[in-house]
Amino acid sequence: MAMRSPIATAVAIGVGVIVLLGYLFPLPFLDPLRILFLDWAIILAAVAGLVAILNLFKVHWQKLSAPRNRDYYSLFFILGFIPTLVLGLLLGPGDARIQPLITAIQLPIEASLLGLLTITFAISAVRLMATRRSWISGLFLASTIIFLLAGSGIFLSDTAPSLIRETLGALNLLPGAGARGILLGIALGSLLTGLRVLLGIDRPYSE
Amino acid sequence: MISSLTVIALIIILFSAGLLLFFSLQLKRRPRWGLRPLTAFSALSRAIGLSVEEGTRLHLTLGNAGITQPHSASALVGLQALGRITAVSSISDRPPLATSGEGSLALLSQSTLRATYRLNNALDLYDPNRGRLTGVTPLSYIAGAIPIAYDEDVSTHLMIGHYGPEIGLLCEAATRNNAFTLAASDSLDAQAVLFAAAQHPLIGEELFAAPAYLQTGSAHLASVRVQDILRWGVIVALILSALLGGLGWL
Amino acid sequence: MMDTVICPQCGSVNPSENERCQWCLAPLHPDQESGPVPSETSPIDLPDWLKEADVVLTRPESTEEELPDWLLALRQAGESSSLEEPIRPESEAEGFLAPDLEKILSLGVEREETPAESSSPLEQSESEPFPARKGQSQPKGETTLAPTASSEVVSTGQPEDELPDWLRALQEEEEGSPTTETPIEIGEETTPQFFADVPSEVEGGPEWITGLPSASTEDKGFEISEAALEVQEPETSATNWAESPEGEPSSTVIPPFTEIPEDLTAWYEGEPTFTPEEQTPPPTMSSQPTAEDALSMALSSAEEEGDEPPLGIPPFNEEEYAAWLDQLNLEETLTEGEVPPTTPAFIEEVPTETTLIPEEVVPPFIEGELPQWLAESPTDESVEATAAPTAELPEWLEAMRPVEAVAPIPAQESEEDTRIETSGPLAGYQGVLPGEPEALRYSRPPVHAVRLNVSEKQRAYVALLESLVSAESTPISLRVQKPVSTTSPVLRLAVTILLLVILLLGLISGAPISPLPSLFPAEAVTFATTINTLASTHPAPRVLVGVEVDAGFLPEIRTASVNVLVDLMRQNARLVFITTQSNASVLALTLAQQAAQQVPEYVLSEQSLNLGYLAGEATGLAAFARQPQLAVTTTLDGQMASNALSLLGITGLQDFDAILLVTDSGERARAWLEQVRPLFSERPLLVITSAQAAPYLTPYVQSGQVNGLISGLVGSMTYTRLTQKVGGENLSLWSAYQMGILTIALLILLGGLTGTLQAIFPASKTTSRR
Repeated sequence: MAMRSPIATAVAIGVGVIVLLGYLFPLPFLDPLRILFLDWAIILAAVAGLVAILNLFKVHWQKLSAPRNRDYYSLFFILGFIPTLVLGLLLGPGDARIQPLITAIQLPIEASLLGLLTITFAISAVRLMATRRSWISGLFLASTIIFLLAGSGIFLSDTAPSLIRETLGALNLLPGAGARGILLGIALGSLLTGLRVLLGIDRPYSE
Repeated sequence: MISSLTVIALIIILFSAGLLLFFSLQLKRRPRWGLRPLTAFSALSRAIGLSVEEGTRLHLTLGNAGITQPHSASALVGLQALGRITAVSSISDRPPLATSGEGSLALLSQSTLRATYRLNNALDLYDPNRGRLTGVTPLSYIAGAIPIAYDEDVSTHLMIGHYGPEIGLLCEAATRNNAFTLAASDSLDAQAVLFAAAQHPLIGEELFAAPAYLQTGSAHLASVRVQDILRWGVIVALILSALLGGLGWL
Repeated sequence: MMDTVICPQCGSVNPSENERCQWCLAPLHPDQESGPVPSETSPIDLPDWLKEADVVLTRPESTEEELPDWLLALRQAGESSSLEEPIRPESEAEGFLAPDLEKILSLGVEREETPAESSSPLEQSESEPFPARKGQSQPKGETTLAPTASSEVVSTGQPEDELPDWLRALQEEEEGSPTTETPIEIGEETTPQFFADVPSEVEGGPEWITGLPSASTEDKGFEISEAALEVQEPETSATNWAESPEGEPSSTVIPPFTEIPEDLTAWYEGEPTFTPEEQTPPPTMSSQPTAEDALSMALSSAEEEGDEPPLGIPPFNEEEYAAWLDQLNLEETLTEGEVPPTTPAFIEEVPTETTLIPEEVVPPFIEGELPQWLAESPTDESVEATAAPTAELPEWLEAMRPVEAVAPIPAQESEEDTRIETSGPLAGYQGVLPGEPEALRYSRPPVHAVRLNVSEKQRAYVALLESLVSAESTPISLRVQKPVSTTSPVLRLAVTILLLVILLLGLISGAPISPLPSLFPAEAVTFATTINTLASTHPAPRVLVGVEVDAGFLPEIRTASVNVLVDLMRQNARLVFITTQSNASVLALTLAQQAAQQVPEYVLSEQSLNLGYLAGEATGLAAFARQPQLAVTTTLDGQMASNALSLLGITGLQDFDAILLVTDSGERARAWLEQVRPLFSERPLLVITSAQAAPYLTPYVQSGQVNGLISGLVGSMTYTRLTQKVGGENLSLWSAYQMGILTIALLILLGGLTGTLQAIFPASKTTSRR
């Protein structure tokens, strides 16, 4: 089978090798190239973000103007998108008149979503043993309870029993150790994923 | 000045690349190594089949990690899964839908969809609106993805990428719609939440084994093999460092 | 030599006593012809010549005196003679092949002209599946014959004169039954040049040849369509003709020029070979497999052997054919009672079916050679008796049946043969023309069987395809996905209400359920100490403040962040804000403004700098760590970043006295630690984080990459307690936080216990449901 997009593959591999070598060996002729490529990548990512935002607007516009099954909730998106874009372009993000869009609209909404998330987590944890009965689930719930108690601040006073405090502190190290092991595994997976891209095995850029 | 850490990093990278190529070539000549069964992927195969049979949609959300970020590995895994699942379910009445929380990832998802359809000679089925950005911040991304669970007749949700704990909201929405959910993330916060909220969570580096389980190619199977070898190397290194540290030699 | 009369119809020589031609039954003396008796009077559908004899013999009023001389002589001779005596033709000119030759010639010409119409439906149906088989295509117009005739039978080269007596008798027997058109090859043996003269006739397949049950031990590709079987069904049963009240020989079911597999002839082979001594015509043939059964056997056999492509029929070779006839050592077969090993299967059936036995050969209808039964002038009762069970049929008639069975005689022959032409040059003659129009012979159009040469693999594919097609039409109940156990709305509502009530109660009461923290984590102490001692390193410490937080998580860390910023402002610190999150620059500005409100002497616009959004996240951080003035071009308010930094005395990362990171994510904190910390290793890096990111950053704290850390509300309370800020504890929030945490922990514990009990006692749950 012929290779898909050989030029794009060659460019990706070449740029990746230069950036990697420039990171490992900050030689005078490699470092500027690496910085240049990174700048290009940042610019391209920013442009991609802009294109994706426009695509998001297009999707909601199509939902709103669909001949049937119109999604009228998209109207809220459009009504929020256009003023924010116009004001941001005209006034800039540092203007005092822009801040309320974030502090008075975005922040409460996201905070409420997090509050909802708290309730969702609580319900999911409550029903975990009912939906997935296993010793791992039991261990997960026990670890959660320990973390909650250790993080509540109840045992940070002198009046709290030292045995309980020390026990909770010791038990709370176990999730940390497990998290570190998980992070190591994720790091290895990330390394190999990057190598696959670098070797041209994975080509998400090719069509 | 080249430090010792740089040399060690270079050795690890070259060693990993060599193993990856070696196993990739070897897998083409030898029978495949077996993967330990993961019920999540078995259930996923069934869910995809049911989704195609029922004419419902399959939703794959790729997270909010851009290609320039350290967490882009999880996004690349999600793109691999997207390509494979799109190819498998291309005959469905409702083609898969991909959402993301980062601009470059959204474009890559569109590119992946297009490439998959083109390889399957079904380019006419490609719709760029099925590779969609739903929000540019973590919570707005999830908030934009939640309506899809309700309005797009989705029966299967795949969450493969980098998220925060907010991914639990999408899981809850999917569960309310009686949909299948398989979730994998490289984020510890997300893993903790997904363990309780998702039907089939993947823990740790199981995320990076997803392409191998989805049979995207021999290289991914070789990658899992190399990952196992490197893990054993890390274990040996930790034990040795602990022993040497205990003996005061380190 | 007796007086002879030449038949005006066929030109054959007949005894002068005969009133009709013994070959064509044409009246030798037309003016003396009395006309035929309708065949309806005879229950037995006898051949013409026999019918005529029957008519004569069954006349009730006829007496011996009225009988003609030749018949009387025959009767007398019949009384004194035996059928077992071989009857020899008096001359070769009297051979029966002479009239047949004409018929064959005529048929051959017709079939050459209309080959498609020349065969019976079965022939057509059979010939269609075999038209010039692949790889064995035959020249057009060339007809194949039984392969054994050319391949397996070795010609003896025995001349005609050297024929044994029995064979001659057999030949004479054939001469005596011309109407049966028995495909006895012995006749050809005596006249081999006949075939040499008329090769095209064989191609066309004259009936007597086409009726040959040609078979070969090598031929296995016998294929007959079911439709063709249906067409032949009235005629194919071997028992039908034997049990027929009319005694009419049925047509053979074995098509001419058809390869007969071994299976078809197996049931013949199973029969003992008849010898002249033990040859007795079976009363009925019902005990034997019928031709239909044979065909079904052959069909099943062919299906079993379907993977083998049927062999083609080799073209006819007259020499080989004659040789095959010569090889047909009937004498040995008849005397020893067994078939030579080299004898093909189909030959084995010849003596059993055609009964080529001298004792049973019907003698020519000549004077003095009539059989005894014929000389005995049967009465009407006897005629009726002969119409009854076939077991009572005379031996000669029984012997004829197999011969006729293989000859495709039309069902309406009896009626047709009794018809007399009333006009034209053939007026007054009977049965000299074809019995009936071809169109009337068959009521159903031929059905062409289409049988493909398929292998076992192809057959398996066909079976698979059939199963798929049938499965498609079969409704299959869709496997319904197991419904996900969704949370019941009651539980969700109850938990929500409970949490809201508890949190509101904590906010309103403002009374923590535990004493305020008095034991502090080491990283928090280090954090507070570092912040409050920055002024000792520099009179106006320059602090890089990274705000990597989403708006939703800001409330959790707002208190701690503001308190820290206040402390820094009080030390006259130069604060430089930067973020890699698009909307965090505004949040940073908000935090700074809130902190500056508590420090009126601090001029935020002059003593701080907000660099705004840094694109590229980790990549941008790496660039900023190396060259801050190049990585950031403008500030949040639009100034040139390089100029603004220079005003603060900052040219590089090393000019900062500390880095304060405010984040809600461990991954974002890791980016700072990986990209910035290596270039800022000698100065303190402090982190304010949410509670969820604290476990993630604990390893960095333990490794010294993070000098100080406070997380969440606990970190805020700890910092407040460490810095002894009066009124900064925010007890209402602290109380609500603790009560909410304990409530959630209790709910999880209860839920876990309930699930565990359900797992331990599943039966009780089922019983209670019942």
